[in-house]
Amino acid sequence: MTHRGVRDGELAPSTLAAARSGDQRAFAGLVEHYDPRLRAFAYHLLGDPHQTDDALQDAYVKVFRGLPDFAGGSALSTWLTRITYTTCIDHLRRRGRLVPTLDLEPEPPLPQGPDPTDDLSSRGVVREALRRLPAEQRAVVVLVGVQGLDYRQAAEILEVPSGTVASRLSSARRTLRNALREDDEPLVVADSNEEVSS
Amino acid sequence: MTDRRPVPTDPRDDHEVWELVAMLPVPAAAHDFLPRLQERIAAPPGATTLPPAGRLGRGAARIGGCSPASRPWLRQQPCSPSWCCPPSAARPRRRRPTCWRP
Repeated sequence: MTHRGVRDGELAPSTLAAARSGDQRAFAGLVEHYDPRLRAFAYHLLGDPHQTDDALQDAYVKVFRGLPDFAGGSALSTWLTRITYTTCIDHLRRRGRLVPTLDLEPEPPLPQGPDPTDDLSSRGVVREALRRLPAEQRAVVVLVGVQGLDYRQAAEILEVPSGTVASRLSSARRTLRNALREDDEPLVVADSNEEVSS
Repeated sequence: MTDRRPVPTDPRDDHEVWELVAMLPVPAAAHDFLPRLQERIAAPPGATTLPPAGRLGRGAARIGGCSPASRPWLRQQPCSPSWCCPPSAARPRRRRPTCWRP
């Protein structure tokens, strides 16, 4: 279920070159290629489908304008995720909702397919707990926990030290674990002070 | 999640939690997402496009209502609140009656 290594599915160089030169069809191809993971990232940050669309629109316009200057110093996916992150944070700041909200929209319809009933309650608990996390922790959860980036890649996107990524992930995991516990006993999860691996 | 299996020390190895997060549904893009985006990137940098309805629409419509560009038939006339703004806005405010003492 996790998408290990965002860099694995980079765009074809010819499409990137065409998009950089202003080819709108190639740029549409770029958007379609990266949209699923960027959308998931933005949606988990913003928690609202309409805000997600608005933020991604803004992010893609920035990408299109900035593509000619993209030097390739980092992976394209890293650059795109970085722009998406900063745009989402701007949207959250405008809404005054860097701190998570409680006025949540109803959960969107579940996709078709097998859906074990046992998972539904856990999924709901995780969803609520995730939305109550600070945005910075939600970002780390999606980037490292779900998309499988290593600490160094996530740190590059979020522009924080790798140790900060590790501590945010540890805090988020502890919160989610505690939310998933049925009893009220606080679960003691040792803080991970392991060395940061890339 | 009711079992008592040991929790991995490294949070990255806690696949039980991360897979639950990964299973959360993500809504699809709006049907006009790509056309709207193509319209925006086709516009020259700095050009404003119509804001989405319901969010900025009201304020933009109010501002646009006073812009000569939105009223080309009045473009030759100097802007004046008497014709540019709605009659209710141009109407002089009624003065409050002065205090009357018997």
